[in-house]
Amino acid sequence: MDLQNFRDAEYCIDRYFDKQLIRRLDFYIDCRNAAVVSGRSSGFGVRNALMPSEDYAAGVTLNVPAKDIEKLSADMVGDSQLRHDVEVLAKAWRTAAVAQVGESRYRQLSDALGGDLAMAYVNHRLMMRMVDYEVEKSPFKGSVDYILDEARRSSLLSLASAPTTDLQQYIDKKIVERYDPGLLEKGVGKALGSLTDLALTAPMMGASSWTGLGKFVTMDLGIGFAGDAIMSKAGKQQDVSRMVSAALFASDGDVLATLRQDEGSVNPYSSELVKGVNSQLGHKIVTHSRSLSDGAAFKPKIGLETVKLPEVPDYAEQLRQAGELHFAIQEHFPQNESAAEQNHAPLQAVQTQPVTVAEAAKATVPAVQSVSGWGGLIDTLGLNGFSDVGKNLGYVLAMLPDMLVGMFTGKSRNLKFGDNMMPLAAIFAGMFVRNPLLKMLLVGLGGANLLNKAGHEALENRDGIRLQAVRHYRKYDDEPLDLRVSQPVMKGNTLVVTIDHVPSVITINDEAVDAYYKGALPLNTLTNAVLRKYDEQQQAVRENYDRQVKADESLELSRGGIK
Amino acid sequence: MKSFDVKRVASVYFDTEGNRCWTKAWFNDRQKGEPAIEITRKQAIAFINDQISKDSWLTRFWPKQMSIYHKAIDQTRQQLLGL
Repeated sequence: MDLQNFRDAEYCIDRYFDKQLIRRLDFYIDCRNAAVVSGRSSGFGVRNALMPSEDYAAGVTLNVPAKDIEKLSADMVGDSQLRHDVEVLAKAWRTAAVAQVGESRYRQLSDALGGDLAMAYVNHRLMMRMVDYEVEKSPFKGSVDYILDEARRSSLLSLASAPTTDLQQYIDKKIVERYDPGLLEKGVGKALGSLTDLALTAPMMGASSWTGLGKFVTMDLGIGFAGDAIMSKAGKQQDVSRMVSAALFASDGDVLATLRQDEGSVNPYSSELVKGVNSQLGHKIVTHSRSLSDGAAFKPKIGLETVKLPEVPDYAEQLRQAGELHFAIQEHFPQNESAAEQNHAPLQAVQTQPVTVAEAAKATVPAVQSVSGWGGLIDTLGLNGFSDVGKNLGYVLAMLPDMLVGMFTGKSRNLKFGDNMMPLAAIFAGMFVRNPLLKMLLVGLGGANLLNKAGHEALENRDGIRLQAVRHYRKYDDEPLDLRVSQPVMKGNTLVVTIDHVPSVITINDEAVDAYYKGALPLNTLTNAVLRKYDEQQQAVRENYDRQVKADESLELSRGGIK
Repeated sequence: MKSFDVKRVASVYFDTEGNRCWTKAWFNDRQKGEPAIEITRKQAIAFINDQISKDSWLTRFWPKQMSIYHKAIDQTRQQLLGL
């Protein structure tokens, strides 16, 4: 069987994600990280953590990777260009699928799924790429991060804060799988979670001694490990890609995954499918050289949204719920034809499933808005990036006196006394509190906060760079490209563009480049700004020329006068 | 800002009586220009009066050379972009 079309379609999907979506996802990840970093400087924040307010909810929500994916999905729903592109990709994949199994079989599979198979598959693939990218971008940096995160998950507060979505749970699971924590780390994480529970429930339980504490922790740990064992059994999911492969190729193996691995053999410049998809995409995945012979077909990119299919189905709901679709496919996709034919009841269930998913989605939207975790609390406590300090503990401890003295004398650049009033006050208050638990919290957390900040300051001094320095940019609107310019492309800090039919290379300053790559400055807007600057320079040159001419003339006149 | 354009020059000239007109072009500073082509007097006047752009003029009378020119620009662009 000829699988080249599938290989090409998979290539297009991957290239589209790599070239177009990854930049937007990066932007959302950076925004989230920026919010987390700025939250670190907000002080100790115990009050905020224990008494959730609107600010707290907003802050906590920021540290949820699933939110990035939801935002990007919302972009893909709201942006007509992206929606169109996804439809084009689905069309390519659909063509390959129909060629493989025939139209009737394809329709049968789509009916069984309750929607277009190609659209669902492409959405699922893009979703999985987003998840993989999030996992890759947010691994645990070390044991300390894992332990704090495990404490967050295993604590009762994770129940009280807000329910997490399936997507977030899936991402969390993948992150943990990638990190592969040791038994000791798991145990310490759960113990820390139990200690937190104790701190919160102590007034109710009457726990006032370390004996009670020990019992509580032991009991909680037992439940935690048992819970893990149950989850690991129930949480085993079958791969969607494998199931679609089974339906299309009647193969036990994951044919589609094999094709994806073989994408290197795809030549985008010779493949008709890739070229066809590329020509229809609003955001190109391959740049072809062109000649005058195909000049008529070539439409100059002028920034106006001229490309619009007359019939673009509204897959907004499917896209928004691509995560849920992932599970819907797993649950309801017929494993093979005979099973689908023999059992009619599951098919009926499948047909009603999309409605159920959509309704469930609407019902869960408010909950998603308030998704939270302990990441925000950790940030609020000023313990963000503690693993950096943990990895360099020796150096940090050695430099700690300098840093602390520098804080009081104003010698430290970024570690200011005024920014550390809360942790200092917490430590000071902890010295006079008699309750050992409260004393431990105040002194411990205050000290950890100071250690973290001083540690980062010391590391910055050593490395000569600011860790996690993130700039904030105003978001500019995408303007229509000026008709005098065409084909703008950014490469590094260079803009390659044709201005007034003159192809040029322009070096862009670092701030503008950074803003562009963070998604705050659209390419068209940047190019128009460059054109304005270019015009200003040209105007200045012309004026200088006129001035020189006049100066020359006046010189001639004065010479004539001397004569 | 740097341009990576290829220099293109187009010119028209008349015979001594001013009845016949020709156009000639030079690409990429090559000493030997492209072969001259006879044109109408009206076309020559339109070119002199800037009623037709240089690129349109060149494309009209030397399409092959302009095709090569576009390919060269595209190739340079690809090289600059590291594609």
